[in-house]
Order: sequence, then structure tokens, then C-alpha cells
Amino acid sequence: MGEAHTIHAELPDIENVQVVPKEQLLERVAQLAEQGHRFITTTCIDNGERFEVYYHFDRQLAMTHLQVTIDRDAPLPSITPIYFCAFVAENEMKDLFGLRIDGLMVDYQGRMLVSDELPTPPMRKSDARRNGDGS
Amino acid sequence: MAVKTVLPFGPQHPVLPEPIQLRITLEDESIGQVLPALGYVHRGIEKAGEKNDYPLNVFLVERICGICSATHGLAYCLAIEKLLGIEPPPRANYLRVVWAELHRLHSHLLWLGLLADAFGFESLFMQIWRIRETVMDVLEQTAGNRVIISVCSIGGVRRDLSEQQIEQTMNALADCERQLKAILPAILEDYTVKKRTVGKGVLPTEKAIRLGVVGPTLRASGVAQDLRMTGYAAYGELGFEPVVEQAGDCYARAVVRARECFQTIDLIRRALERLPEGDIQTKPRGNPNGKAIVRVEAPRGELMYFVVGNGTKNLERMRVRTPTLANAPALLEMLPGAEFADVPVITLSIDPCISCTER
Repeated sequence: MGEAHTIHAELPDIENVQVVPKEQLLERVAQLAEQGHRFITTTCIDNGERFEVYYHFDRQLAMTHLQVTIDRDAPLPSITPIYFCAFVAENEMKDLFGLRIDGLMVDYQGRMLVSDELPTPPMRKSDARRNGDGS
Repeated sequence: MAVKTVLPFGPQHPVLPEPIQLRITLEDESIGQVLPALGYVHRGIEKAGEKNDYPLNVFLVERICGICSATHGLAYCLAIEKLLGIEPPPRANYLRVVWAELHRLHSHLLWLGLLADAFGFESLFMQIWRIRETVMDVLEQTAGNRVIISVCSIGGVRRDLSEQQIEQTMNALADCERQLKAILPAILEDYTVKKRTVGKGVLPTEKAIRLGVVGPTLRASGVAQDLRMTGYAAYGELGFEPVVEQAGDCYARAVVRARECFQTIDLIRRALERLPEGDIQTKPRGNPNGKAIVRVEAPRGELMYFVVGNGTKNLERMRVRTPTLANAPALLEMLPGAEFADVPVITLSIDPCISCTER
């Protein structure tokens, strides 16, 4: 999986992706913080079955990406105790994908960007699309 | 004992042209806790990016933010070009730099004007915006529009510059530079301005990195980091040194942006002088497939596009991380301890763009 994601061979500012199991995420993030990495953002991708969550970091213009793949209803630990600034990105994933995140330092309860009127997280791919109905 | 009051700063406030709320806990006149409330104008552009055809997204992403629309278009086009494996012609790369830098220039001037306005220096605000009009005229002359100029397309640029337009641009830049040189001392050396900005909202280097701030806010805290150093488009050939200040306060952020105005004028001149001859468009073929990340330097800082293609005309995912999303958490660190009267200046010092934040 790591090789397939290395799509930036010609650009020196981006490094490859490191696949990390959920249990080791905080440990790995803490290591990056210690080395002086700057947190950029997170990206959640709904591949129809599971969530692929990327954590992007930068150090002197070189990028490091951590990738965690989890079930859509499984909780993910928050990295905000290490990188406080991640609360915006993590709350956004919570709002838009319905991703469960435990231990957020600032928790908007899934209502940072969306209102109570929205029944389902808007970025989550529908079951119909997952089944290949094209809807 | 200090009296605690929770005060809503925004969503409608004279210093904020766009809706965001800061819930400020005041202890007498000094600020305790700050909590931002977002979502007043969230538009779901990332989701819309999955629904549109990929060439149509160029117009969509330009509407994420008016002030840096050229940079959004550029970043998206670079990401798609990476997926399609195409290279724009050299002339297109240089023209992209010209328009991206013109946008930076008018964005920085807009901000300097707003800063003057934030502490009530209205005539200075008007003067700076008058200089900004020179840049807006150049944009209109060269691209046909003032704000959303839509010049980037996948594989190149949509418009070329004639000899006459280049000459007009050069003249306007000289004019702009002359006026800026005359007026900037009024901001940067003024006693009152210094009184309101020096030592306010200090962000030391280590904290700046840990809080993930980007762009002029990061460079004002002594970190020489600018995505233009990576040499995308034609920056690699034009030569580039980032502008850095050490103090990390509101004044340093103003100085970084003021110095960047001159740097930007130099970059545009160099790009126009060395403008290569030839085509301006490479024809894109096929549909994007795979994953690509592109980072460019928008006027407010690092702008990241993470684009996932699936071999169809629609994208699987389009992730946009705008500079204000990275700079806003720093407010929660900068504001506590400050006086309430300094909230407008400190908030403005990160150059918040709510339009970017509420993609």
C-alpha cells in the first residue's frame, strides 16, 4: 500500500506515506512532534468500506504522511493532546464523515460546521453507491 | 476578584468582514479563554468537487476565496496535471507566477488597509486601498476581471499577455512601488501604530511550529518557510528568498507583509522580463487517476490540495486545506492574557479569511 501512495517522486517537498495501525498512532505522532514536525491537516477518505485517515506533517518543506485505515464506526484517538491545533481538522472529520474521535480537547459534538437539521454526515458515501448502484 | 464575562465577538463585528464568532471569556479587561464558532457560511465545496467534472472544478475552487482565487486555481490545476502526467508550457508557468503574485500583492495591500482600519486609522486605510486599485486595474486589463480572474486551466493558462499589456503592467508596478514607498513609513514607523502592534499577540518560534501556523504568520515568528522555495510553476527559475522577521508579534506580521509587497513586485518584473515565447496550453488527455498532493504559497500561507482520482471524470475526493484553517488555532494561544481592546488587531494579524475556512 505504501508504494501505491508515493505519487510525488519528482517533488522534493513530499515524502512517502507510512501506514500505521490505530493503536500506534499517538506514539508515532508524538515522535513526529518531538522531531519538530509541523502539523498540516488530516484527510479522511471514505473508500466505500472503510475510512482511510491521513495525517499530514511538514518539516522544512518535506512532508510526512501517516495513514490509518479503520472501520467506519470504529473510534479513533484524537491527536489534540499532542497537536492542539488538530482540533479544527478532527472536528471537521467528525462533522462531515461521522468519524468517531475520542479525547478531543475542543469537541463541537459533530456540530462545528453543520447544523442540527442535517440527518447524516454529508461526506459519507451512501450505501447505494457502495453497492455499485451508481447513485 | 475579577468578574468573569463571556462576550461574543462576532459573527457580525465591524472589524470582521465575514462571519466568525470568538466566544471570549473576559476577566475584567483581560482575556481568559477563547473559543471560535464556525459554520455560519459553510458551503460544502469539497463535496461539490466530487460531483463536478474535474475540468469544471477549476471554476469551483476559484470561488473558495476571492482574494486568492488565482492561487486556488493554480494549486488545483497543478494537482490534476500531476495525476494526468502533463506539463504546462514554460510560458504558461511564467504567466501563472505573474497572476499569482498580482493576487498576493492585492491581498497584502487589502490586509495592510484593514489593519489600519482595525485601529481606527481610516485615512491610511483609504490610501492603501487606492494603491490596491492600481493592481486591480492591472488584473482587469490582463485577465478581464478584477477578483475572480479565472486564468488557470488544466495544462496551462487561458490568456496570453501582449507586448502592450506587459508594458502597461510594468508601468503600473512602478507606480505602485513608488506610492508604497511613500506611504509605508506612515504605518511602520508611526508611534501610534507601533503602540498598538509591537509586543501584541506574540507567538514564539517553537509555539508557532507546534500550533501549525503558516505563511506570513509563521515567517514573522522567525521560520524561513515559504512554499515558493520548492520551485513550483516558474519560481524555481526566478530565484526566491523568503522574508523573515524574528519578533513574532503583530508588528512583525505587518512588516513581513509589507516587505513581501516589494518582493512580489520584483518577482512579477523578473517573470515578465524573462517571459519565454511559445504556447500557453498543453492539451489534457484522459481522466485523473491516483492520488496527488500539491502545496502552494497563497497570500495567507500554505495552501494544500489532496486530490484523489478514480479514472472517471469525477474525482473520488478533493481535500482543500486553506491557510486560515491552520492559522486560526493560534488565536486561542495569542489572545489569552491580552487586553480586550487588542482583540481586533490580534485577530486581524493572522489575516483571517472565513471564506477559505468555510469551504
